[in-house]
Amino acid sequence: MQCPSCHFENMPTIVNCGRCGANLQLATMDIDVNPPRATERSQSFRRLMPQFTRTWYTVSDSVRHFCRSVFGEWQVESIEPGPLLVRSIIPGWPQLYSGQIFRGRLFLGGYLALLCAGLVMFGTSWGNLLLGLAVGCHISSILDVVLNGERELGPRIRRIVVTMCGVMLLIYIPGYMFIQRVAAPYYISALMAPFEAGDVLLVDRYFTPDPGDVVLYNIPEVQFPLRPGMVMRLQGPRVDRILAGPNQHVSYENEVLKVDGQVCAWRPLNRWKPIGDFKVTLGYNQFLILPSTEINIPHTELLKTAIVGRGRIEGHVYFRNQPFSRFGFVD
Amino acid sequence: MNRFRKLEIETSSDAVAHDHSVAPKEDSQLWMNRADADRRNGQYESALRFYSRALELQKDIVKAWVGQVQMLVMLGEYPEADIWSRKALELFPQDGDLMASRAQSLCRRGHVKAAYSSVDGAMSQPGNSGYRWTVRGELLLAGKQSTDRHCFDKALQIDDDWLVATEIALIYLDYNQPSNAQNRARVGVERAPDSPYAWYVVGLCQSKLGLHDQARRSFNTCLELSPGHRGAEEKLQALRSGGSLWKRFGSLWRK
Repeated sequence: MQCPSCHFENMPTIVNCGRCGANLQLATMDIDVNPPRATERSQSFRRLMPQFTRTWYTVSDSVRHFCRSVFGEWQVESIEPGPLLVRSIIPGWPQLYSGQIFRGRLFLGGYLALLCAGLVMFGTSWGNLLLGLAVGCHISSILDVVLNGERELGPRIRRIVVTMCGVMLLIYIPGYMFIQRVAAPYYISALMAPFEAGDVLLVDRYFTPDPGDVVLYNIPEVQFPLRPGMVMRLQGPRVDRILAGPNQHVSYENEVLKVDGQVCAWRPLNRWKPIGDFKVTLGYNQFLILPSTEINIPHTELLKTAIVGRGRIEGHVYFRNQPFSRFGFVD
Repeated sequence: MNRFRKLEIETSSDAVAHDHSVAPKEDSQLWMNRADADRRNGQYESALRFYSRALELQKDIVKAWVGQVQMLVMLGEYPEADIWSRKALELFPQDGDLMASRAQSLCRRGHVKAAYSSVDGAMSQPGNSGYRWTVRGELLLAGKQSTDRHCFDKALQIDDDWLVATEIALIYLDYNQPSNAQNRARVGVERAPDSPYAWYVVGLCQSKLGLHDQARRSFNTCLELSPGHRGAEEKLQALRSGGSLWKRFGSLWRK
């Protein structure tokens, strides 16, 4: 039998050519002779940016090589690991892409349900639990792909650890840090009118305070005698509204609060009026927040607690997440 | 007569059956010829299809496997060319042209080191083909070495087909060297002055060099030889209108 590649004459029953190793049984083999093709989108992209494409190939091959060194040889035939790993950012998508529809929908549906429930109960213990389960569901979706076909314990553990670290470092820790800046939950532990114990407020720490904003701030510490033999100390976080900003002139006369000569458009969160008149000009980076939740403050201590520096303001309270009966924006 | 009763005489049905056993090879050769013809017209997509058709009928045509990889490279589908060359090498592990095609797909993807080992393997195989030297030249070109022209010259020496010169010109164009590309494209036109595709490639080189009048002449020659050549018509239209919006905008900043 003549080899089609090197034309060496081989014995009839030989499978591979004795000289060049070419397969001599091709005529009877059932193999696909149609090459894989790029998708329309890939072709358009490559035509548009040929120089960038070459760099992209080098980078993507380096990433693939790195993944192979960490995860070992890919076990799923006919599917490249790259497209699956890229789609891992959304739980269930790799399974849907590789044709496992039920599994993909299970992962995606489970993740969305847990995530939504966790966000609705954000700031509570149940919310933390549900969000943790959502993260677990996402990691499981990725491990379902990454552990495919791997039987050895050592490589399995390595892949699990790398996957968990990668998902946490790349997705959830940055997400958590971002959420903590723009929607940090604040749990009200004791009655703080108009908020009740158990309320969860969302606080935006990336903000610039302005008059009218409801803010979470640390009240300046004061001590004053409440009754004979009893001293009251005020300190710690409070939630109330900014009534005036830096460099504004504030006056309270005849139970009317004026800011720069105009009647103040804002009111504290609670219906409370100070006893006694006062006048003050706020300094640079000072805000006026009347402590409407503390009704026992004597007049002499009022301004000490009401003038709050910028550094004591923690964030803008804009939403009440819990309980559901009072779910909504804080106005 | 009775003694002639048991003579075996080929009947018409036997003749048909005999033809059937030969037909697939002839058909595969037909598809190979069509693939080659389309390749010489720059129609790489249909050439690829015809190579596949040839392989469906006869899977051991090494030239068709090589042709498929080459067409994938010409179409810019380098990862697919790499995958396919690896598959073909599993069937024909020591074929020099297949190794060279793998080297070319690796080089186009930026893996020049891996491509060097592949092309060295190709050169060490028995036989000699212009394609191996072409790929070696491309590797040297990608590595920005000046010895690429020797490899291309060697390729032209081994294979005097005009298509080799034209495809070398396309390689130079791919690496943004239109002046070198023009020199090689001219060799292709000298060898085959009646080939529309050779003229088309010359026109491409000239338009890249900014020689618009000469490019117009080349494209017109291409259209004379092949009326309705879509590529030439589009290029002529672009030359008339001054190019794409982006090119016209860019030309405002140049003298």
